Amino acid sequence: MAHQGEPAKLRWGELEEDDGEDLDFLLPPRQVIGPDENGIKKVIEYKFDEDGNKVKITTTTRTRKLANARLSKRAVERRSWPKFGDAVHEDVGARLTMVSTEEILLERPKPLGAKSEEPKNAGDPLAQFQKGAVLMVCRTCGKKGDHWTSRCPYKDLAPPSEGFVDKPAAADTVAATAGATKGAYVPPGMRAGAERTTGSDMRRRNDENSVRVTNLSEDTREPDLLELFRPFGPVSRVYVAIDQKTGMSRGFGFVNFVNREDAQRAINKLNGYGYDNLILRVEWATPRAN
Amino acid sequence: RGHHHAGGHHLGLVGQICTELIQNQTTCTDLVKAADPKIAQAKTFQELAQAVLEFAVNKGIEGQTFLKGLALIEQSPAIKECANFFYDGVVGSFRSALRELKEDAQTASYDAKAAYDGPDGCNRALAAENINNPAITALNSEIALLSQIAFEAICKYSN
Repeated sequence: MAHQGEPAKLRWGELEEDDGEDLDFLLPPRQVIGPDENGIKKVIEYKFDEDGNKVKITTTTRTRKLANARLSKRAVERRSWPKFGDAVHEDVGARLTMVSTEEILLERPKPLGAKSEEPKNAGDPLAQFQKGAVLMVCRTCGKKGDHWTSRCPYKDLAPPSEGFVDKPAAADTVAATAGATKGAYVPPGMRAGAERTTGSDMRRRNDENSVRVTNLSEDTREPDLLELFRPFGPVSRVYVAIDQKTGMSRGFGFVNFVNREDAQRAINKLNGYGYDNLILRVEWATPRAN
Repeated sequence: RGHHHAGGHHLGLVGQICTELIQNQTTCTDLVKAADPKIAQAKTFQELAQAVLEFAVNKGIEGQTFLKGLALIEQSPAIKECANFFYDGVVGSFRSALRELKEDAQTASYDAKAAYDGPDGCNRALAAENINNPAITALNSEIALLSQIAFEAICKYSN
């Protein structure tokens, strides 16, 4: 015989449903009785019928527990939490999942192996276009080898923000002794601003401290690799193999540490590490002991 | 259109690489002609890489011996550094590249490229002491060029 009467709250939306009649406040409040131990629940409501007479409506329902309905302890605990905000007016078990109405574009780096074949006569740049091996360059976002301009996923976001220009223009390296016109490894002495003291230990090359990194994404560059490995100790050299024609990473690089222990720690920590949506493989560059 | 490889017609595969080294075409061609005949006669890029690296290792050892002898006479810290530190790196890098050639082309190409650091560092050490020795300069240029040729050869077949 438990009574759980809720005071009927007059909302703005409910008044509209009665065609402007403001006589609902004359009715007794809505009553909810139960459910009792048998699951019987009664809802008593009062309304005016078409003739203006008071009408009492009693709705009797029976609630039943599903035998297979099992909730985890945490879910049961969450349901006992007091509601707040707009959820106060919601029924128990109302779905709280939100569905986004925005279009979200996910940029997924290309896995290795999705590259096109390279033309053999690389010495003749005009011959590449004659054989149909054209380099894709998107004029909207500036990406190379990824898509054509007409297929740019960012074309609806014009003008593209600086966040999409993920390849800063490399400073032109002065070709002192040899012409480093390709995107290949540029020795430290030939890079821009490479004025170091000769004989420094930082430049000592040691085979045993060379770490090879593979399964890099196509967008990975040497500064990225340096930033990733520097926390483990002093790094004397970083190298990322670049495809000469497309300018994209070939998926592997090398890092030379000053100290062997730092290199070992980097291998232990970063092998199998998720980086730029790919799983890195980090190992000694020369597996055999010398 | 009678020639497919302008400038490198008689040098086979290595002529193609010399053609691509735009700023060193003549030097590259001259070096290859004077070097081991196996380089010009290579039929595949893997053969070419091996021949170049074998020649480079020997050249590095010869150069280091020459520099060590010079260091005894000149009493120069820069020449001593070239002989011991930088050309140790040259020989070590070329040897490592040669060793890795059949097992791991990626590491081999990296080691071949890293050999360039030797002559480059040596040149900078000499410049810091205002030493102008044409023999050392020529040796450094030759080693640097061999590094590039070997690197390009390995890249061509490891892709």
